[in-house]
Amino acid sequence: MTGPEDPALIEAMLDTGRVERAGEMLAAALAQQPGSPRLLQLLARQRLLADDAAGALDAADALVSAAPGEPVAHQLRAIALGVLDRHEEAFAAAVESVRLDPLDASTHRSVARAALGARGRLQDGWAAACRAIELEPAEPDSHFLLGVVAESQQQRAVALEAYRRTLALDPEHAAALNNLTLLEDGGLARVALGMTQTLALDPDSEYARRNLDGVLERFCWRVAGAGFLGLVLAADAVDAASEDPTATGTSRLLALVVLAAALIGAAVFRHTLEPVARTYLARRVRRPGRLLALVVLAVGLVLTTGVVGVSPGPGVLVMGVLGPVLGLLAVGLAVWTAVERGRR
Amino acid sequence: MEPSDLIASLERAVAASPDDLALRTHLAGLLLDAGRAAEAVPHAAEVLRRDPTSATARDLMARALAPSTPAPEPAPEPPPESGFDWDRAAADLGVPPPFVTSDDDGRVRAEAAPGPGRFGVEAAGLTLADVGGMEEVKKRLNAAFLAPLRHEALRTAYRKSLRGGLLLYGPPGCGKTYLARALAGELGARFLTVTIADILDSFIGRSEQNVHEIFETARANAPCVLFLDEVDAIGLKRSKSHQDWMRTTLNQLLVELSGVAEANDGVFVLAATNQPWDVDPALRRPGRLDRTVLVMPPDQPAREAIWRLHLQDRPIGGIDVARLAARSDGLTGADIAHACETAAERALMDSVETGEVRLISQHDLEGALTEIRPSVGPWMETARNVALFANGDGSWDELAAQLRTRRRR
Repeated sequence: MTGPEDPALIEAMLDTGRVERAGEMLAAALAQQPGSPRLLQLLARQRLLADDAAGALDAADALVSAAPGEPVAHQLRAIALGVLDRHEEAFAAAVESVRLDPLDASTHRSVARAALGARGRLQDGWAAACRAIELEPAEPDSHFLLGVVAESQQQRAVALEAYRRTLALDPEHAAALNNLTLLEDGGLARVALGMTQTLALDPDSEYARRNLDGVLERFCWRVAGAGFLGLVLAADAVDAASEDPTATGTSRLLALVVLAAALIGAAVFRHTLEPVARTYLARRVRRPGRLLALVVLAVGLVLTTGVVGVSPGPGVLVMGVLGPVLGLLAVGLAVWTAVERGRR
Repeated sequence: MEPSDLIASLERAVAASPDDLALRTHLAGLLLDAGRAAEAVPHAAEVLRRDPTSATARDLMARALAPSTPAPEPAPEPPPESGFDWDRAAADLGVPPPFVTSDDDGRVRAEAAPGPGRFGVEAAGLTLADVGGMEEVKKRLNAAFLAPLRHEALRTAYRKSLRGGLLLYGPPGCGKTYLARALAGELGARFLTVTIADILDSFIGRSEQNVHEIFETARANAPCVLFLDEVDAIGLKRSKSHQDWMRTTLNQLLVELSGVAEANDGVFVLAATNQPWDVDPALRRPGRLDRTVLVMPPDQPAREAIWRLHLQDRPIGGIDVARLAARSDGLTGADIAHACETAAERALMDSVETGEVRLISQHDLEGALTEIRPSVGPWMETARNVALFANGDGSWDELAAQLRTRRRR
């Protein structure tokens, strides 16, 4: 049995996601042993898990003061600095951890991680990940980091292999599955499948959910693209009909074909999706974010306008009024998408 | 008959028939007339609690709490500097202690039963009848656990084994531990609660030994309900555990759970968790924690019971519990307790500011409710993700169905 201030119990709380309770226990334990390196180490971890990088850095700094020879102190410092976007300092802290214990694979992983954010350090990151693999070949995270570094250096083949190795060592490595799926890029349905598999491993994975949303966005853009093509052809048909009302126009026929293809493509895409992805994406369409709502609206308008446009009669009016509106909407959406992507 | 004799005999009568509200009201009136306002307050409060519409009780309470009411014992203490006499107010209200433990409210607290080990075993002291509402959960518990235990002849006829345990899961603060204790009471069994703190030990091999000792204690005290609280901390998925002791402790737990069947005769293993998706699948295999019951936030009758429980010892007046329960849909027992605390704080501060002691009103409670956000939000978010993405084998069908039902409401 153990008391509430026992570091092992606090660590167990952190390992099992009880971050808040671990924080309370740490406060009590640190009140009794304020300079305990073990407790400071746990505090830095706890602060990181609580999304308080500044607090984690304070704890890591205190830990470095209390135990300057402990590599883990510098590793935690590197992580906190990285989260705070102080990448150069993070890289230096990670290098310091390697200096203290060059035979510990985790210190090299720390360097590889820090190198991802630091400017011009990718080659160092690559070397560190390789060294970590050399020291601890069965550790999935070393392979994963190599994959991420390789991907950053446009080394697709190496990255693919590294992710596959990660998953061979740890089939439940959600981040590796996420990255591998995106890198393989086997079409939207395949990406959707990979993301649902990632989410099955880690249902709270924000990245996988965003990527799944991205699948829907990309699909909508494709349909919208086809719709615009149909629209242009329909406009041509309307123009031809205004000069000669008896003209049937090949443009009108082509527009119909393009619009039908877009609709059929949508149906096929839906069919190829896994039921889970279908349910999720249907839910997203029903409750979209602002960007997705506009994309869906744009697709709907384009298709509707296209269909109405190719039909004789109200085509001229529809094309005359909605055409400029759609053009403005498309420009707005493109700008918004760029801004949103940048923000992410 | 002297008034004091009449009061004494009425007090005996009320003690014999605590539900007789007319008698209690009469007694409160006599106490007030005799200048014993402080003694009248709890009786008036009790009548109001059971019949919030009773105008007589409200009048009595108002009289009892009126500042002019003479104190039962002249206490010539100097008035406090703030101008508000906290002690006097507390005496007037017959304020109960701020925290009521199970000992205080007269429930049975078992003595440690004889047997080996360092782990405290106690009597449950509750039954399912003490759990308000939650009929669906009770039905599930009955079918999964109690009925096979109680009907031995049928069990034998159907060759139903008694092996295996039960996993209660759901959002935090929804009464899983309370239900486990009530289940133990239903079985007439002793109750042994175990958390990670009881098991974990810094010395190598000691954690496994603790697991073994806990089971030995339970066996020595059979019939005994062994309750593994926050079982995900003890039995975290091996793929997620970073510590060696976690894996070895889990292995020991698996051995103890499914070891020799006879050894666990009379030991009923219950477990509870807020994060069932983090529990190692091996723990949920047949013969171990193979039955699951989802405990969601309390339903309307359960919420009414919780409101009553948290208001029972407070000075209240005109409370419509059914309305409060309806307005607190989605809140947990812990949230409701917090709302009561907030409302009490409002009434108290109001009393301090005005210098006039007043009851906690419906308005205070409804006001407190507007400030409370359901604490189950993050849990529900994760549960929805799990039900959608991680339900390939149907493990979370019940959860998914419950979430669908809640979405429709």
